[in-house]
Formats: sequence, structure tokens, C-alpha cells
Amino acid sequence: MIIDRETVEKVARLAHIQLSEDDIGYYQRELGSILDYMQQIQTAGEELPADWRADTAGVSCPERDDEAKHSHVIERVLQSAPKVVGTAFQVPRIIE
Amino acid sequence: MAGIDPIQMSACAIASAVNEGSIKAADVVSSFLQRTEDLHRELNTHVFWDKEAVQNETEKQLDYIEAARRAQKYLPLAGVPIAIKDNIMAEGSIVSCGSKFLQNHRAAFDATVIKQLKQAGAVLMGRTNMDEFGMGSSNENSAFGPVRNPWNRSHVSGGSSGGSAAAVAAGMTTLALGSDTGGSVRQPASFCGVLGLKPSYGAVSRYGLVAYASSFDQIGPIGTNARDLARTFDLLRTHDPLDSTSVDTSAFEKTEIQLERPLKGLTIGIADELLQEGLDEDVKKSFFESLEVYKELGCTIKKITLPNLRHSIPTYYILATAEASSNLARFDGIRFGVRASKPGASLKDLYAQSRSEGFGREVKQRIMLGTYVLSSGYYDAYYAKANRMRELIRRDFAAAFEYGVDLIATPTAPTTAFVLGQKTDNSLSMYLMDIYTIAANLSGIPALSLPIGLDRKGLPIGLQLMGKTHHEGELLRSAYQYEQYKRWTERPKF
Amino acid sequence: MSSTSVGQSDQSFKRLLARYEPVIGLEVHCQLNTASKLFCSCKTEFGSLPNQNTCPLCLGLPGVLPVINKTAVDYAIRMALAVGARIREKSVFARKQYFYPDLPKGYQLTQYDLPYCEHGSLTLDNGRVIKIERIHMEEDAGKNIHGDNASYVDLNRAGVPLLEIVSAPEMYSPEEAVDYLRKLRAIVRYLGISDGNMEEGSFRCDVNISLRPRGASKLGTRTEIKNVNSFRNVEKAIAYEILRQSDLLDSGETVRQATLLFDAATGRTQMMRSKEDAPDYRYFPEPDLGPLFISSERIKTIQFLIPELPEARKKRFQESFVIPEADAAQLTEEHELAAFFEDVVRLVDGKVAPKIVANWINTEFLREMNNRQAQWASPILSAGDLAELLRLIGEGTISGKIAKTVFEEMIEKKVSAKSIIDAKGLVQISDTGEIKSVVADIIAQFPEQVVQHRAGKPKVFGFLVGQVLKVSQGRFNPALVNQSLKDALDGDPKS
Repeated sequence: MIIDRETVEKVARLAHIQLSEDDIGYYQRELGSILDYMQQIQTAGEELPADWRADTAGVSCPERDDEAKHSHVIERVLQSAPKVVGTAFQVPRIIE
Repeated sequence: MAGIDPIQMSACAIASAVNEGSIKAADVVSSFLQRTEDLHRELNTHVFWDKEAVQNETEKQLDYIEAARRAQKYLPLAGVPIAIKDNIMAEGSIVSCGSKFLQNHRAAFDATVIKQLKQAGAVLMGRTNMDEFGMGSSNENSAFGPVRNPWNRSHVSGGSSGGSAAAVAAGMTTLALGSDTGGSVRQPASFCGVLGLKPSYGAVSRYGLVAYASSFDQIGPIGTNARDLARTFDLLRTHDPLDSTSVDTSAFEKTEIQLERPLKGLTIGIADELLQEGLDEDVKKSFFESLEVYKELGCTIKKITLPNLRHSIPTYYILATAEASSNLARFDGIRFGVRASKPGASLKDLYAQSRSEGFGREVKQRIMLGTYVLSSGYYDAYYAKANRMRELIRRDFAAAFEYGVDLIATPTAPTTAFVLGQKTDNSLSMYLMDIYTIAANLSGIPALSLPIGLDRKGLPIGLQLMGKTHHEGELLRSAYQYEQYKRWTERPKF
Repeated sequence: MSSTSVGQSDQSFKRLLARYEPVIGLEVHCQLNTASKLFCSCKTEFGSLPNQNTCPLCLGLPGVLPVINKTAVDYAIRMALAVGARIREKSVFARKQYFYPDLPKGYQLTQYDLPYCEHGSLTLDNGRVIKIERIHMEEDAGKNIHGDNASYVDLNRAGVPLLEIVSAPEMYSPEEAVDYLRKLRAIVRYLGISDGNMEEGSFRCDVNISLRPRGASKLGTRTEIKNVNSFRNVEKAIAYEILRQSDLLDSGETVRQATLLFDAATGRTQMMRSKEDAPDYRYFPEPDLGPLFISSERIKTIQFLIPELPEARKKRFQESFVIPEADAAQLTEEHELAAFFEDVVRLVDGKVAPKIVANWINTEFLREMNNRQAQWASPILSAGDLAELLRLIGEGTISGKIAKTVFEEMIEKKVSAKSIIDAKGLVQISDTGEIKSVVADIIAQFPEQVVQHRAGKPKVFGFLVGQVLKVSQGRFNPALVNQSLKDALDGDPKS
């Protein structure tokens, strides 16, 4: 098992997921065995040049014309949003 | 044509009959509505199935089809029912993605594929069950319960497009759309004895598909025969300016017109290293039998090696979960979906409570895995390494095609549909079911699963064919010719 | 000048700066004035109601994909060219991930380790060249509005295109930092890619600052001050941070690396988060967009569209109009102002020296533009009207003094200089006969002063000129009055 409890908790915090005591045990076990299995690629892939990058290898992105349009979805989105005041989404008061 | 049960007809036959006027689209639709009404509970193929509501929604489309017929305007899928995987936006429908988080989420717009299908005269036939956000290989990760295999109710349908595959297999619809991130169209198609196509990355627009892993996801059709699949694929394949990864394929030849071309001269590659441990004996036997059929059809079988494919699973589960962890960050309980905060909750509580309650166990696991592999200190060891491995897997395929192979054949899955609950407590054993399908998503090549027989338990076995990028025509043609040769028409009993 | 803002005398602040050298770097976020957002087609203008200019993409709904705005990329290229930077052929958008209500997707699309632009520079008034390390494109966040019991999210601004322009830490005083910002702002406005409005947030600034003992080469620990929204506040924030950090260092403590917020009301910075709380953004390349490809042909085409920039225009004004550097600098800070000046110079047609035109525009004209809060789209006077007025001075039709009252009346009544002068009979009198007779009268009226003048008392001459002009109600040509009085007092017995 290569993942400790603190790491599971840290990752859950980053992902904004709340875990029960049982959850922590479960994910520690599952993530541990998966990450263990994933170790196999640590030694792989050395035949590529050191400066090879995936992100520049793809097809370049198309660009659209700068024309403004109205999408008309906001009314419907506000209707089904969890909590709305006027036309704004409400959230608990943010404390900086 | 009158007198033939539309349930037994192919999509192409229905479209011809409707275009000719020998059958009414409304009658086709009501047959399938009734069939779905009768079977959906047993198989749990659909989410939020409501016969009345679906029927009402078809009215506008039926008018459109009727108007086209009067104007003698040919619609390639006139009156053809198509069930839609529940992660594809159709305006006004609830699009839940198999998640509690979105159980009340109504789509505000149509996906590009939905627009295309409507234009072609297809009739939307409900929303199909799926593993939550596409994350699963058995459909047991749906918040709305597992889909059952039409061939044997105690077995899984496969996933994540299990509802789509099972609905087609059970004759509840003629066609279905699935989405395939690591095999989610092909593997359930294989488990349910139908055909499923994962197009080349970029061939079909992802606009309106709820993203699981953006650089892997493709929408693909599921059907009972190669011609139906070819026709559907031909109309879905288009350049979409709303999807920056969409490829302009307008110059490519339609696949349907290639179906009859003989296979003579085609070379099929097989890689021995993929056919070793974990492969079920019945599946292996059927696989080699299907290769004999292709030899009969004039194909050459050639041994190839794909040395890096053994790393497909870790590579995929690193990259796909990394993308997923980010794609699912927008599910925060603020603008849409479920907000599960208790009174007095802080903003952080709101996030954590909404996400913990809204997401199921596997989704949380993949989000955490993806968060982990991108987090500082682990990025290079996992994410960066996996990207390099992905490139090597791509190069393995390129080398094979360079070597003169036109298609690569593998079983679609190492086993047939397993028993419900068998793998739910061991993630890794479930992930290993994707061994054959994942490589096509990693490398962006097209792949198809077609049924080639039953195992000794009476469960379907699928053959996977993978092809060169944007050479779907060869896959569909190979599937078509196999069908013509074998005339395998077994369907589950009801 | 900075020190007064924090209640210290200039003297003590200067003493402080004699011991410590501040090292300042600036990160500017500049909103591009495209019609639509960076990755969707929503309008970039801010709706009167929250969330009116939004769509599934900038609302962060599931199932939508970004498509980049071509004009935003063109504008970004303009900026790169204007600061002589290198443009990368293939740059990459990445997701910067964190949870915040104004960030609807849970990540911001920005450029990370492969920005489209690097290695630019900008020259300050004092001649120092400041390196611009990188410029990248990114999308803006929305706005959180804080109420008493809850906060509210408005996503109208979410997705508006931004350029982030990052300088090297190479500025060594608050004045240099402000000069850099003014120059940068002038450039984006010249290029027409942003309105550069700091108060409205379309030109925002984060300040990195550290102190080191004079003579030391090693950099001290830096702090970052977020979102400072005016030139004045940049100066204040830097001055405050210099005081705070020097105080710490003087008392033997260490400066802690941190992100600070500047509070304009108190003039102080306050802790936002320490280095230890630095978020883990988990950047990774955006899979929904391929690399951004910028061809050399495209760069060439855009190069052709780059206008003359402030620095070059200033030099040209100095040389071809023979005006001082300070005048030229002021005239070229806004390209509309510079263009107005050039129009007036052209329209006076050599009748008035450009130096006089520059003086008039930099003082009278700009003062009235500011007083009346006029915009360049509809200035208080057209270039033609102002040129007419100045020509009348040059031709000797009216005096400079009278011109000032005419100028004000022209603005008030929206009439031409000529009609005011004609109506009020303000034409300057250059008839030497008439002048001479008044001069004679004045000499007769003030015999005492004439004696004093002849005795060599210098100030008396001016008094006598004043008396003559007073009689003419300012309409006598002052040069002729001077000459005539001199002739009458100092000799030429023939007259």
C-alpha cells in the first residue's frame, strides 16, 4: 500500500470531497492497489526524446470570428439553479 | 412491408419503408414505445422512462418526417427510433449522466449529434442508463441501479453505455447512441450481442456530450447490423465548429457505399502478446474461428507486435482520471444540479457536501485518483509519464499499420458478461476488463465490436476490429461482410 | 512624493531608500476589447443585470467546449510586436484548477509553461529598459458580490479575454513602477486592444516587491500585492510595503513570502495567504483545445497594422516640431491627443509655431477637456476651431491674452473664434497712429514715472505699457505698444 491516510485526506480536500471514516479506509485500499499497479509505467517511455511534449504534438486549434451572440439560456438556467437571488447565483457568504 | 413487426426490422429497412410510405413512422414509434414500456423495468435500461412524455416529445419529429415524406424529401433515418445515452444533451430532457448530482438537470440545448439525428428523421426513444459519468465497465455504477443483460438477467450489460446496448439487444430501439472513453460503446455491445462503433477521435462532435475524459471521449452508434451503423456514422461524422477537436472529414468517402466491396487483399493483424493470460477459453476459441471466416473472405492474417499495449490500463487510468477530476470540478452545487448543503454551511461545506452526496463511490475514486496524479510532487511520475506512454502506444499502432496491416483484431473483452456484483469490490479487477478496448481511445483510432457467437453459458462474444484513423469504412465493411457470410442473427429471448 | 501618502516625510523616506533598494516586478492583467469572450460568443460588455451575457460555456454547464476568438489572438500578437517580444509558433492553453464561485468551470483557461509570447521590453523615461518576461492569454473570472448574509455570483465578466503581462523584477522605485505602467497602458490604448481603464478593472496590476541592502546583489524575500487599481495606489502600495518590509528587516526579523491585498481606504497591505497556503493548481494542458498555432505570415500581416507607438511618436514630435521632450511626452501619452495635436499643427498652416500649439493644447485645452470630462470622441473644440483661434493669434488679429477669453466663449457658446471677435470688436489694433496718440497721452499723465524711467528705474516701463494697454482694453498689439513707448521715452527727438 503506497498511499497513506494523510494523502487520501489531502487529495479529498483538493477535490472538495468529504469522506467518512469508512470511506477513508476504502479509498486508501483501492487507490493503494491501483497506484501500485500503475508503478509499471515508471520505467517505461524512455525511448522518446527528453524534450518530447504531448501538448504541442496535437493538431492546432481552430479560431472563430469575433462575433457576439446572445445565447438565451440564462432564464432556464436560473429557473433550475439550486439558489438564485434576482439573476445572481447565491452562495454562502464568502469569507476571504 | 406492412405486416412486418418493426421491432424485427433494420434501421435502413424502416427508413426505406417510411420514406416510401409503406409504413407510418407513428406506428413504428408506438411499437417501440410499447416494447420499452414492457421491458424497461426488468432490464433497467432507461432512466426516468415515461412513455407518455417520450411519446409527446416524438410528435414534432413525426410531423417533420411526415412533411418530408409528402415533399418526397429523403431522410436517411426516417422514423428510426434511437435511444440516447443519458450523457448527451437533448433540449428539455433530464440529462442525469447516471448521477444523483444531475437527477433534476434539464438540458438547455441540443448536442450536435442530436441535431443531426433529428434532421435525418430519427426519433428519440428515451434516455438510457449508464455508469455514472461513463465511469464503469459493468453499468453497476449508475445511481439508478445496474442494467441487466438481456441474455441473462443475473449478468451485467457491460458499461458504461450498458442501457444503450441492452435496449438495442432487447429490441426496445433500433439504434442507440453511446459514448466511448475506454470501451464504453464496444464492451457493452459485445456483452449484449450487438454492434458498436467507436469512431476516430474528432470524427463525431463532442459538443453536448458531458465530458468524462476529453481527449478520449467519442460518441458512437450501437445497432444490430453493420449497414445501420454505417448509415448512422455517416450522418454523425461532420465538422463541428463548436468542437475545437472536431476534424473536417467532408472529403472522406461515405462508409455505407463501401460495404459491398470485397475484402480480398485486406490484411488483419493479430498480436500474440494480447491473447495470453486472463483471456477466457470460449472467447479465445470464437476469436480464432472468426479469423478463419476472414481468411475465407480473402483476408490475410499477419502476426504483429504491439509491445507497449501492456501498459494501456495504467496509462489510461492516469490520463482519463486526471481529465475527469478537472471536468467534474464544475459540479459544485452553485449553478446547476444538486446543492446538498446543511443550514449554516460555509462555501467549502457547500462544495464538499454537494459533491459527496451527488457523486457515487467510483466517481469520487476517479476524481481523487486524477487529483492525485496531477498534484504537485506526483505530476511527473504519473501524468507526464503516462503521456509519454500514450505516445508510444500510438507509435505501436502506427508501426503496425506501416508494416502493412489494415486492421487489427482482438477480442472486445477478455470474458463474456460477468455476474452482477462479481467485481464491484475490486476496482482493479474491473479496470482489467478494459484491456482490449482502451488502446483505441489512447491512440484515437477507430474500433468496432461485432458479435461472433455465444459462449457455453449462452452469452455473446464480441470481436474487436481496430483501423487506421478515419478509416471507419474498412471496419464497417469488414463487419458487414462477416455478417453476410455468417448470417448470425441470434437475439435474446423474451 | 510617495512618502506623504503613508504619513512619512520625504526626507525620512529618502533616507530609507538610501539604505534599502526595492526590487519591483509587475504583473498586469489587461482586458482586451473584443466584441465576444475568449472562448464563447457572449458579449464582453457588462450587462446591467448579473449573468445576462452568459451562455452554457461561461456558465460552466456540462457538455460544452471552448473555441478560441481569432481577434483576441490577433490583439495578443499586436501586443507582443509592440514590445518587441518573441512569439512562440505553438503555445498551449492549460487549466489552472481551483474552486471559487466566480470560476464556473472549476478551472481557468490560461497559458502556463508555453505562453505565446516571451522576451519583450519597454523603455522608461529615465532610459532604463525593463524586460517583459512573458505575456500570455487567459480568461477573466466572474465577480462575487458580497452581501451581509450571503454572496452572489455574476458571470458576465467570466471568460472575457485578458493578457497577462509579466515584467522582470527590474524596477527600483515606485516612480519607475508607475512610469512602466503608464507606458504599458499607453501602448495598449495606442494599439486599440484595450481601453486600459484601471478604475473599471480593465487594466489591473499585481505588484511583486522585495528589499535588499543597497549594494547587495542577492534578492530579498518578495511579497505579492494583488489587484491594485490605480497608478496612485500602485505608488502607495509600494511605498507602504517598502516601509513595512524595511521595518521588519531593521528589527532583525525576516520578510515572509506571502500574497497581500492592498486596502485603498487605509493605504495598507494585509495578508491574504502565506506561501505555505499556496494552492496546488494542478495545471495540465487543456484537452479540449489543440496547441495555438501562430504563423510567421500572420505575424507579418499584423506587424503591418501596428501604429506608430508612443515612444517613436514622442521622438518624432521632438525632432520635427522642435518641442521639448516633456511637451512631446505629454502629447503622446494618449494617441487621440497626439493625433489632435498633429491635426492642429497641420491646420494652422505654419502661421503659429508648433511649440505654441503644444503649449495651448497641454495647458488650456487639456484643462478644459478635464474640467468638462470630455471624451476624445467629442472634444470640447474641433481641431479646426482651435487652429482658427491660434491662427488669429499668429496673424496678430488678437492677442494671446484675449485669445484665452475667446477660447472659453467658443466652448460655452459653440461658435467660431471669428464671430466672437467680430461681435465683441476684439480685433487687435496695430494702427501705429492710434497707438502713438495714446502713448503721448499716458506720458503726459504720468510725468513722475517718466522721470523715474529716465533715471534708470526698470520696473516703471512695464507700468507705462500696462497703462497704455488698459486704455485700449487689451486690443493694442503689445509689441507695437512696446516699441512706440520706447521711441517716445528714449529718444528720437524727431517724434
